[in-house]
Amino acid sequence: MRFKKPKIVNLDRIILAGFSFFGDPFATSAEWTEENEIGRLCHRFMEYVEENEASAKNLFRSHISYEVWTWNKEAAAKGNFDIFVGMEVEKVEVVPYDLSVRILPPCGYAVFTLKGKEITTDWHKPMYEEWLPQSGYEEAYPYQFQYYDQRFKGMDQVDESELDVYVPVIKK
Amino acid sequence: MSSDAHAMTALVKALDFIEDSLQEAIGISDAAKAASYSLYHFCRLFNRYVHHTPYDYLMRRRLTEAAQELKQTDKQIIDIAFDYQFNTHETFCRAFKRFTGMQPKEWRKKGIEDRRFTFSRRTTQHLQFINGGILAKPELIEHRALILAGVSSIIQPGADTVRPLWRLLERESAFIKNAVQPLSLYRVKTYPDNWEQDGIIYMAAVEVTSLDEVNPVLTAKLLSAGTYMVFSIAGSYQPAMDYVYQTWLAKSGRRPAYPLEIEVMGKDWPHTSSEDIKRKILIPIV
Repeated sequence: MRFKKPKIVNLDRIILAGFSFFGDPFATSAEWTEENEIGRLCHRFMEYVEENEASAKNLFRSHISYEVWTWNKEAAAKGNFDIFVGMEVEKVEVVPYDLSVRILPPCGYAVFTLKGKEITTDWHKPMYEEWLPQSGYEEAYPYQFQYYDQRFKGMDQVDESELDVYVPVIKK
Repeated sequence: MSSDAHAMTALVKALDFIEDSLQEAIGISDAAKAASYSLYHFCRLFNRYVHHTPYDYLMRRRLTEAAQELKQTDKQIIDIAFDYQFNTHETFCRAFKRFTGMQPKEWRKKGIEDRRFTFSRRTTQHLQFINGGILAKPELIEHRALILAGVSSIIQPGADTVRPLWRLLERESAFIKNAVQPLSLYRVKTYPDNWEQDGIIYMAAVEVTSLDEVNPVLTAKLLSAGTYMVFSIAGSYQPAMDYVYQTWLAKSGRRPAYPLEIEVMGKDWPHTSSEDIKRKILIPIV
């Protein structure tokens, strides 16, 4: 495996508020750029946060953003992924009508820290096909999320960036 | 030809005439002539089939086109007023304020062109909808909060990309343990300010009893309890929504509490090939 062994953590339920995209996110650009649907989704969410600065301050627990990828049946068949971009909130009841909600259950996660160029490699394959089968764990839910905190400097400064990838796991 | 069909064909001729004459000095009697009706009969039929008086219709169409020109050109306001047959700056401003809620100058600076609220040209489809597509007239009700779970995405206007969302919802719905029965499907559309460029937020969903056990692969939405306008329709969506926003809401003096539409349909909806299916529409109202 090319990157460091993951650490295992247990997290409580996470409630996220943000926007979803469903479809082929690479239909317009397959690069790790901000030009494809994921980049556009993130941009749109950040714009929302800026435009609603005052209410966003009370709504979100922090500035850390989550990008949740779901492996649904449409993904395997047609390459249509569900991607949710958002930030953590205290409770569902405070989320305004124009944001969607994603609730991640209390769960164990394998946390992989990707550094610099690793971020743009095919890290999904070694995580799920190399590490997971020999780890004593199995996939708990069909999603994973990327955790963008201050260590992530942006796609234009990927060399100086770090990104944590959380894979939901359960002991076999 | 039935008398309904005959009247609608004649009225469409009048609508076409009005459309070609928005910048001409026409009177309602000219439109009646285009439909080959007496003025008296024309006014009566127009109201019945279009739900506006002919003069109100003419004014709304002129103001809609004028509003568009204010945004899209740098023509002088007075020239636009004259082009659309307003005799003075003052009469134009008064009518414009009544129509958009803003003075023309303010609209040019801050107005947002939103197809939902400006007054679109009425067509045969609109007339057919008004005279057969409205199954239950709009009314205001107090509605409970809705907890929805489903699949959501940003959809560009006019894009035909929503089928996969429904397909996925159908596949995942077996795993939604706490769906409200009997199962109804919810289509929720949220309109951000710049939706005509950036797209709307679309959600295909079912109602659930709580969010405690929601499948983590689904997106959720909580819509608060409150006053909603509700009505039932059959047939195509666009004429229905034009009617709701531009005729019913415009005349009622009410406005949406926030820019969102909820459609409630039977569970077989994704399998029907046509839009010709009964559904209920809810819009939050102030």
